[in-house]
Amino acid sequence: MDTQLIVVALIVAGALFFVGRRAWRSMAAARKPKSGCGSDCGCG
Amino acid sequence: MASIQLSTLQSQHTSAARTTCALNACVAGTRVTVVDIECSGDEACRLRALGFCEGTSVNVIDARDAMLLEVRGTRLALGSALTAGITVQPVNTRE
Amino acid sequence: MWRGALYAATASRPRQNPVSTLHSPLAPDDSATVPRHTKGEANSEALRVAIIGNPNTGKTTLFNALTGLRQRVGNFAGVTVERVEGGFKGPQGRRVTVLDLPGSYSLSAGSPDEQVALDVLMGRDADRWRPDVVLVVADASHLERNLFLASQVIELGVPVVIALNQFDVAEAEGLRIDVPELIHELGVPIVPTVAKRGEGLEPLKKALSIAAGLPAPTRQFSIPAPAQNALAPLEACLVADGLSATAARMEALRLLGMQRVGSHLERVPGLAQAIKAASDDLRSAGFVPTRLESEVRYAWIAQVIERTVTRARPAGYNVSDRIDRFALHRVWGPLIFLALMMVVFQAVFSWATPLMDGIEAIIAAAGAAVGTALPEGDLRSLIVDGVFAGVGSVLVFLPQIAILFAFIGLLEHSGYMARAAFLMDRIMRRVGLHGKSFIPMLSGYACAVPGIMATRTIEDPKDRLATIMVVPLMSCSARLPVYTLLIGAFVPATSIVPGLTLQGATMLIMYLLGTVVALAVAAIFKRTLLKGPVRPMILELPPYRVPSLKSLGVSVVQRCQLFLQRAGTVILALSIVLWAMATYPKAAVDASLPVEVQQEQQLGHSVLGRIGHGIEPLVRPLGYDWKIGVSIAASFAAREVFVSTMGTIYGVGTDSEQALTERLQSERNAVTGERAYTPLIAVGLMVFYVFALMCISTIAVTVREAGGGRIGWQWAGLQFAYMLALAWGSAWLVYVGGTALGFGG
Repeated sequence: MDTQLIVVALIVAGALFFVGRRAWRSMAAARKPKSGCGSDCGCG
Repeated sequence: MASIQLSTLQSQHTSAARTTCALNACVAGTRVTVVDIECSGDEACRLRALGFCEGTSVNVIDARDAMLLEVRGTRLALGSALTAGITVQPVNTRE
Repeated sequence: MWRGALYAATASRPRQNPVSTLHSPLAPDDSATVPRHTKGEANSEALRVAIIGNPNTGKTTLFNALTGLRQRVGNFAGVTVERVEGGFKGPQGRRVTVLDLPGSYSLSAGSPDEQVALDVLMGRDADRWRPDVVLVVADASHLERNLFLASQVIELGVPVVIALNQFDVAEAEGLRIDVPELIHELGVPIVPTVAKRGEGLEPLKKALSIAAGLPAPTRQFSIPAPAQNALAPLEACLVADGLSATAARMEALRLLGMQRVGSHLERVPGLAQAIKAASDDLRSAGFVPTRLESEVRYAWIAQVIERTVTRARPAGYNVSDRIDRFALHRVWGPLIFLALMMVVFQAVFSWATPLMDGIEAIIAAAGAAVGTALPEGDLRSLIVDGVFAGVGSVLVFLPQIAILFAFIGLLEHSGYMARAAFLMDRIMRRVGLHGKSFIPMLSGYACAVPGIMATRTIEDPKDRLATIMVVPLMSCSARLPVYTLLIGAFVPATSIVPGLTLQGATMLIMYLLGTVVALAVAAIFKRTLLKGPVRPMILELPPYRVPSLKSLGVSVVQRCQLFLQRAGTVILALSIVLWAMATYPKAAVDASLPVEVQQEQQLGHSVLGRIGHGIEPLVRPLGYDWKIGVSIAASFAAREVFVSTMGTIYGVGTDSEQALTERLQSERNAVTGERAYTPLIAVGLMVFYVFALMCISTIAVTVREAGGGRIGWQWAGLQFAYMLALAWGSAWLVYVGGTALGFGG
């Protein structure tokens, strides 16, 4: 019973970490200033 | 071959003043030569890259609000705002 | 007049020798021309090939034929143009990586797509990915237009191989292309291919590995002397910056055509002045600077075509024109379009059913097997109710997504998509956008992310932004699970007309609702925040083609893989987190009560239940109870999570969708005691999901595409807020209006 709970806690913690990292990454990637084309190239 | 090119360009220049009209005034089935493209730089630039430039002959396939054209073997659809600013010279096909 | 004479004089100059000794890459003994050093390092480093070509040349089909399923989809660093990379084993066992560049008509027009292509070709790509060889895919049946881009690429000074694709079509149209002569004219290896049937691939692979070892092409067409003199200072300026003489000429002509300098050249001292000086000089010599490139290039191309292509019979109206007489007809055209859309939605809804049942059965069996293998306890609950229920309820929708992408691919590859854009131009222009904006919106039916990426083909920044803002209103495939669940549970499958059931019609209405509102919102944006002139349509209508089944299959599999990756990672993780939130803290439940009541008490006590009760006041006006509130809240990151949350909340995901449907039909609101899901509430929920932007990926893509940084966040925030307001308002209207009209029961 106890080992089960520990395994569950580990899995849930892992999933939480993954979701958090994923969200953080997409936010960070979005925040990064883009390069590759100029201000007048028509992409905003 | 050189002489062919010369003569076509020549005839274009001499008769250009006579019978030019806006592209959107042409009806389906007309064959025309582009004389002048008057629109914003970007659009002219894109048209030229697509092979639609001054001196190109163009077949009008369908003329409604937008126009359907045959240009260098490809089919282009151009909006009415563009076709109004393009001057062409109809080529007489009725022999 | 004298200019014509000059071009003609250029043509009669003695031909330059082509740079290679390669007469035809199809020659059997061409291995003799492989330089020794490429053989020596046969396996050391992968050969990098970039593929570029006009749209509709079969470029992607060729790419798929070369690389098969070994593809990686991503983005170009810093910009959100889709970057697809693949690979194959070259003739000597050397690894070859292939990068598919966005389709471009030229390197001059300066759309973001074309900018990315140019950056990669010039080695200025942010990833520092520099091609060893550039493969230009040219449509053999439209060689004249395709040689424009090809000649620009050749002048960049990178080793080039040209694939003359759709060679069979050209032959069928009566075109005879003298390939050895064309190789001679262009000075680069040329291989005829029919990518659709996989013909010419081996010679092409061989030519690519040979070309890498050849010196870069230095061939260049001549331009009239006065123009050349006017260009000289500008070219010198570019050569000083490190360009070769040919590349400098190409770049000079390009800059004159565009009449502006990209950011990458701002650092070059004196360039802007040099462009202005060259323009003035050209004008005084009787040239129009903006026309110069197209004039000289097409004049040169005309000569090449004259020497290499013969036409067996005059070009006339072909099959495509005959089809277009109906497909673009003023009356039939829109009707055909509508009928096609109806077929697509009906197919997505009904054809997928047997496959979905199969997947469901497999998941149910697997869940049951794991359930019996594991001892009773929290871990079993996690696996069965969390993982299997959560991921399973999303996996079920794989067949629908595959069918939708297959149809979208079919429309695109067959050439009909451009006709749809042409037909929609009238409507789109009334909105303030042009027909081209319709293609990203249509892609939005599959997924808003590629749809927003597809806005890159729109040149006008304001049009682009307005399109980005409304693409997520198009019902994407992630909404399908929600629609399917609710329609399946609450809309009877009665037949209205043969081939269309009430369920299919409801689905169509949901899609239409999103589309109509998207157009309305775009019109509002174009008249307020993004006021600007309506940009006219410039659209190529490619000839109709029978799509390559292999290429179609590859793209469908690719999309399904992306979806599975999501289901396997994000949704798996979210399902586990949601399970934990629905399970802890544990409530002390009376074991003598019925199981359903126990479950309900436990859920109410859990973290998820508390959140649900917390937001209940917000969803109460819409007629929802706290459980629906929880599901909506949980699906803020991704819509399809709504269904898996329902599965988790009701603990029925492992049985089947049927069980969830029955559970929803019998569920009662704990407060009012009435049925929790009336058809009216189901419709309100669907309407909510039509409008709400609940997708982290879309938000991230909008931020980047709308300009990144603060501006990007502002647009993304506005998008999220207006869509949420629209969703809540419409769901409220449906509920209140429907109740007032007596549909409440």
